[in-house]
Amino acid sequence: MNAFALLLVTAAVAYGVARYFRLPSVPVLIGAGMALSLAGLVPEELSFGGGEGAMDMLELGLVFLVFASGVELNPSRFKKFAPAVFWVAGLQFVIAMGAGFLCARWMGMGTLEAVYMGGGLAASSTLVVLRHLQLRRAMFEPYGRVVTGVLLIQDVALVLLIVLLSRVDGGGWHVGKGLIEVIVMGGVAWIAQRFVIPKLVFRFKPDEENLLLWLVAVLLGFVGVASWVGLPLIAGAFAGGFVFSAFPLNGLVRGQLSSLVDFFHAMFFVALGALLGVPEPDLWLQAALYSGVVIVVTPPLVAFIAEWRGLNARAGIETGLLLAQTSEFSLLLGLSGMLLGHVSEDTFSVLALTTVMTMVLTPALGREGVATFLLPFHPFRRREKAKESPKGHVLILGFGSAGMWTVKPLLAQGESVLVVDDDAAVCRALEKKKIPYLRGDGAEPEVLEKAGARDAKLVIASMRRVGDALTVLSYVKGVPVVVRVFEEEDRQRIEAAGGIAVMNSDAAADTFMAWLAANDRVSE
Amino acid sequence: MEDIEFLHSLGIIAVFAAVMVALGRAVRMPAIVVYLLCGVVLGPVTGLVETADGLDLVSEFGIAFLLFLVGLELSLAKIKDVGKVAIFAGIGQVLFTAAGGYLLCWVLGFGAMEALFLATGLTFSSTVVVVKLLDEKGELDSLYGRIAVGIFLVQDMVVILILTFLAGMGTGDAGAKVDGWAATLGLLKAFGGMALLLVLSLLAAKYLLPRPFKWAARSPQVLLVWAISWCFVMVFAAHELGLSLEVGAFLAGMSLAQLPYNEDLRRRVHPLMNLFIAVFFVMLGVKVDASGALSNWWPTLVLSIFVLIGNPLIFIAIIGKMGYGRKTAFLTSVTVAQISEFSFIFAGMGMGMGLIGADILSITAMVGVITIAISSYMIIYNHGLYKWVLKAGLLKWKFLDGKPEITDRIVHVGENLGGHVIVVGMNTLGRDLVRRLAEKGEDVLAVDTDPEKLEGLPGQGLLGSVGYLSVLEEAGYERAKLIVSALQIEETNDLLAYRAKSVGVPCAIHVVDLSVVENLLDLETDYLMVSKVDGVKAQLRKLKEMGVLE
Repeated sequence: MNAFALLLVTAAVAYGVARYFRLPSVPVLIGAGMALSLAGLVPEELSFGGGEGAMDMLELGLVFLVFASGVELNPSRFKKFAPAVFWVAGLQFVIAMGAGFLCARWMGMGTLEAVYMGGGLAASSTLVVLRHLQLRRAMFEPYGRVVTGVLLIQDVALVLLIVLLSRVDGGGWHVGKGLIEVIVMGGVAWIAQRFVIPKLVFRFKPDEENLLLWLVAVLLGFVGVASWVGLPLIAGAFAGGFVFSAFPLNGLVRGQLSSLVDFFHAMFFVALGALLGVPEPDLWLQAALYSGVVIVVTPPLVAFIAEWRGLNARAGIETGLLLAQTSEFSLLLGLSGMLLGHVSEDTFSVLALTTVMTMVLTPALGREGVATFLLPFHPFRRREKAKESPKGHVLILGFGSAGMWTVKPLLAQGESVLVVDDDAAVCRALEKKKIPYLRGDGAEPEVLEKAGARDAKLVIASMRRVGDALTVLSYVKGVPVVVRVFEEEDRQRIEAAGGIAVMNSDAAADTFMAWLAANDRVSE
Repeated sequence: MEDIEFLHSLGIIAVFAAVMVALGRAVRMPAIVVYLLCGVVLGPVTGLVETADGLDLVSEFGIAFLLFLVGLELSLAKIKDVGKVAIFAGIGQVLFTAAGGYLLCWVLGFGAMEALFLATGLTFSSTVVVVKLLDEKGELDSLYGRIAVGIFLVQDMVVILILTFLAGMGTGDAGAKVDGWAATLGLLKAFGGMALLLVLSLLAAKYLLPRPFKWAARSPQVLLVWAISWCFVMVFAAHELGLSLEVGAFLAGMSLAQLPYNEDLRRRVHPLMNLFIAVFFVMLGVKVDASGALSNWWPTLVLSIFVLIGNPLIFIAIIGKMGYGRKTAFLTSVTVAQISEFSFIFAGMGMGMGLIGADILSITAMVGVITIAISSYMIIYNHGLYKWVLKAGLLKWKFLDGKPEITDRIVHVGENLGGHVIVVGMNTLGRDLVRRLAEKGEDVLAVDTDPEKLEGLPGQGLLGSVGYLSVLEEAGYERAKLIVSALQIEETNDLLAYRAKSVGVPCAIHVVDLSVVENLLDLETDYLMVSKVDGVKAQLRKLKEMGVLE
């Protein structure tokens, strides 16, 4: 119990630091664990092969964390972008893994160890990236959807890799058998997800306490099955989580699960750091090299593939930057390899350090300005041919799904209109309707120049991000710019920059109140 | 590949318990009784599960979280008003039950030492069982609930003293000399430790915790981890001072109870407690060795009846004499109709010291299982039982006449609300809606996970995540006339629409992106606030104002 008190206090400090410096929690937790080790405070119970109670709890934490990932495996989140997701995820994983493998071999690792390293470098962190997207309110942006999908597929790929590598000692047949077994287990999980568990839940209507018991029963049931057929526990935990991934079950369990996940998350990563200890300086250098590989290879690779599959250049770069870190699943891959004797402790330490370094850099890499800065260097960015810039027109930046509502009345009264949008499908539709357009990113000065923004009589900035609107405002001094915003703080920012803010939230509240007044059933 | 004995055992427990609980619902069996039965079946009967370090650790976590929750529910102010009765009733009951129990055991033919151990084992009631049941019933903060918790904490102190005294005795023969000096030191340490820990927790509550936790509260994850780590710091401190983990966990919770986020914390800690405490009860059943008790069935039965009926009678007398009404006295006394897990530990220590035999341990364990099982029903159906007892004329005691019934209890936020509007998500839209609805004369309840966002709003506020059903229940969602979500989180909005639909309450959901409309329409959402479209219309009006559009 005292061991856990120490872990939790360390985790509490780490969370405080992470929150204060706005860093992802995972690397700070691992770092805090390493600090424990440096201070010689690691409890005896915490060691591989140490006291059973403590390690049992950490094992439980591990399966819970993987289970929680399985619960989030909901393909409907990205179905609209499925082709882009599969291409980006597939190609990125294979190429990044190849690059990591080659780098590891060059550094002198054996083939099998290099495969582990390559696989570990190829996967990105679901925890860190999703949190980043939520903070930036970018979950609904096209790149947000693609990134979510890519992360989920990477998780699946890594679980498969863990399974296959766990069987490699037994030869090709054993590996193939493992693949079949995991597919069968996945199939059973799918049947349970579609037909069994939802029916049972709706038949018996368990309260929250009992639902939690069912959750644990399914989790440990699948873990038991995985163990029985000789698959890694992680595969069972992931499959168990998938059973609860469909709506509404995933929503019903998420609240219960989140407390458990937060608890085990804190303990597990601190314990991991404590078990790793503080690596030698040469391992830090190696980790820096691998981090460099991840950061240099992933963004351009993903940007290229994403744009090839239909995302615009900036969205592609943003996707790539957000995915430029290794994953908590990479740690599980390394841990699995170490326990099997495929991977040395030093290699696992390097992988863990790489994870820490790349995760810490993610908030910085994911900032809006970075993608904008890198955009001019995009070699394959589509560029419109130079045309004469219009004057005295109404410039609409971002057409979206509601653009026709604005364009139609303007055209009807004979206004000259030019639409700027970076979505190829939108541009095709505008072409069909014979509405003048320019394909490009409305926040780019080059595009604004071509669009004659400074000579427009009015600019309507309908882009998703307030930052883009502020960029436009700083470019087009003296031209009225109308911007739709949601939050009060954004309205203040726009008006301070000289723009005319229209509040979506105000308008929505007006319409809602009118509906409420008119709706007898509710307003009685 | 991996040693998964622990996960294997835990899995068996979870699967078996899940099935048994579902079946137990058919006969309205309390979950605790189900868990105990599971443990007896999995342990002594089938041998599928054995005691192990990992499972014991999980059990300890369960106890710690449970008492932490109790502390979170009951601040010092709430405990103070029942302090006097808790102390007198707690100590009084220990003395009377110990004396009565000793006499009964002597009559049943047990020797002096055996009678002493059995009587002591009968004296203490189970904090864990009662608190769990009261928590399930939502009556932890009722008057009788608070009195019961106060009594159990006093009993816990007595237990510590007794265990300390026992540890100070020599080992080996029954006639070994007691190390009086060690026992006295131990007692002083226990008293001193308790006082020190209490002072520390009070000082922390006033000076140390409020500001950091206010900062942490804006991130639910940080708040939870900080709270749990504080709990374990206090558990560690209690351990170092020779006190039980229950005391440490309780004081940790109590020191956080005055913070405005204690309810939200309770909800977040609850799932942890639920899982771990279930293992505790199963393991209690696993550890039962019934063989000795079966051959001593008569004393086992008599002692069980003594606990089930005798203990409550003693309590009614004491609490009634202290000026509480008939109902309060009855409801409180019913909570003590079982023996504690400490009794098992106490008997185990006695056996280890060679002072008593295995049959006494067996009897204690069986009395424990029987009284916990039956008293669980008594507590769950305590109000009905009271009516029956009253009707049967079994409480016609003069000293209970004329005593006022105090029915005070903490009223939760949404309890008195009905026909109100719940607004979830205090972003700009949410806050605007709350103000407009309040101006319109509606009873509004605002819900958010960020305490700062709830400040300065008309109507009531509830801190919590609607991902927890308990938050919606506390918001009185079943009695609301409308649920509105201004959130921009797809999963939470879907869940909210689903929950509203399941109770037949209309809902209005904010649509951030048109891709989510299909899901929400499938969930029969009554109104979709498509802020983007409304914003475009507002923009057109603006263009007209500017003269751009005619």
